[in-house]
Amino acid sequence: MSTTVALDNFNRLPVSRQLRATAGFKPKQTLRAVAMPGKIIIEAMPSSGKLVKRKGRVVWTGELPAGVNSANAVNALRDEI
Amino acid sequence: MKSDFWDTSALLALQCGSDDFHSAAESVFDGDCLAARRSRAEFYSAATGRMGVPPAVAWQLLESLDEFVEWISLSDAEEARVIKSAPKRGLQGRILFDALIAECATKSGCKTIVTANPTHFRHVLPHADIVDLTAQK
Repeated sequence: MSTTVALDNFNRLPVSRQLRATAGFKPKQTLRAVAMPGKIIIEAMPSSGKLVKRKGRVVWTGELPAGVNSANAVNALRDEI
Repeated sequence: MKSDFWDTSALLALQCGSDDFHSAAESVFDGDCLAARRSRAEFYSAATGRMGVPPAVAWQLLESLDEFVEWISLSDAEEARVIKSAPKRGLQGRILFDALIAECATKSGCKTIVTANPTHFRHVLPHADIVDLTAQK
């Protein structure tokens, strides 16, 4: 979903119910905001996972944000460069 | 013998247990592999960025990989050659980074690329065997 929003008179950024619902945000949920030139990304915080040993390697068990995986994370990173 | 070359997305899938392609990566990983040195920085950056992995955890995941991965670098001249060839090869945008990673695979003699981003590698390395983690999900 893509829409246009405007800062209000107090420079606050309103996020509509529809946007929140599409993103799957719940009331009082803690979110992470990442700002960079020209954009702000607001996303759900991943759950706190733990590090476990698998076949001699260290693997992280934490949940990733909704819709994020290794493939699209790398593509997004490169788009930001 | 180290024969498989893993790109950044595959390494992330291997180290993050809840990633969509983690199981596929686990099933393909045979104990060691090669990867581009630039993937180390991409791994940390993508993990701590969009994937939301805590920075200290991302470092531990990367440090763990050091025991199993042989990191391959390009010289300045090799990197320049890839960039110079990009217009003729029709490479523009982010695919250039895969072209640089593919050059590391070529340099190391690897013929098998493990990736969760297969499309670009089919373009930059058409003769390679692509292990597509997304197809094994």
